[in-house]
Amino acid sequence: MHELSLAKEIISHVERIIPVDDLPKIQTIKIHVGEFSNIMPDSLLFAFNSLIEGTKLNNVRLELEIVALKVKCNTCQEVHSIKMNNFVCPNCNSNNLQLFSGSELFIESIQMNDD
Amino acid sequence: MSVLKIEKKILEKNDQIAERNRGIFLSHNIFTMNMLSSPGSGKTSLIEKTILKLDEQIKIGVIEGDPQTDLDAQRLNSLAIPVVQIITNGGCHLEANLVNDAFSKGNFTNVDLLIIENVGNLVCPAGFDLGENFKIVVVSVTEGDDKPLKYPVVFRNSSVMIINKIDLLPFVNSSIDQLSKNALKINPSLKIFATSCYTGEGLDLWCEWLKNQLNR
Repeated sequence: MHELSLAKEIISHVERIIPVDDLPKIQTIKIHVGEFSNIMPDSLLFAFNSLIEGTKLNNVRLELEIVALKVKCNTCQEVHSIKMNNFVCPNCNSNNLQLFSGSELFIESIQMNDD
Repeated sequence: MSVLKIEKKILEKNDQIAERNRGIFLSHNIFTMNMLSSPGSGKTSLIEKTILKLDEQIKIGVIEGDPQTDLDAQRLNSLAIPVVQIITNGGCHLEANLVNDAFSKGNFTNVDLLIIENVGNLVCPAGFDLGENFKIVVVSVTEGDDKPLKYPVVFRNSSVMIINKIDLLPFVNSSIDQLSKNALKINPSLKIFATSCYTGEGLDLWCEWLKNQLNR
């Protein structure tokens, strides 16, 4: 359900960045969503599409790039993808790991139609 | 067609307010913990017992988050401590601005420890920084010992886990050992306590540890 808050935040970021008259020119908003960020992509898309209905952003497509959960091992220094519920280095079995990627939640770019 | 690079965190506004909260808490020398769990794990009972044990040694204040009613705040009001209730009207998590607002409404500036009881939910609150010193996750034995495996983000993001309602262990099919093992698979640095608010078991250890965090 917090996907609704996130969809609102995405829209308010975009409305702050893009001048109001240019909002209908936006084609795609591309965001990065980490696998380990507790976000359900379908819920986020549903919330976003519901919120933009009948607004200047009506035709905007929200594109999600899912970022895999990866950890950096503090023992062997290698970076690996791991399963979400077993934080163990596949190379050396150490559990002294730091998150390398997978908690991302950011707007990467906005694609505009310049015609 | 043009592409505008943005690279902006979606929760930037929340993070900025959380940082502001952190500064406010620090300026008043207040230690803050954000308590997370599923509904009904016993967060409010744990807070009550913690206050009763530590009341004469440290000043405690509570911000209560619930989707509806101020029943929890009413419970804590009888303990004569500053309490502010946030009713989220169905909202599934607390955000930094709600805590900022609640803090300004309460008489918290003289407290040593501020406990923020989040909305009962193991998913959504995990991603929202409120400006706390640490997150603590409460899990009761009745929920099953596989909880950490099902909700890894909240267990990874927390510093402490309290296994509550251990007086009910004879009646349920879960163990402290297995619950701890599963949680440590996600977060090996998790500090673990096992408590019962009914018998009082484990509460002294937890309260002693908590008190020592304030003196660090």
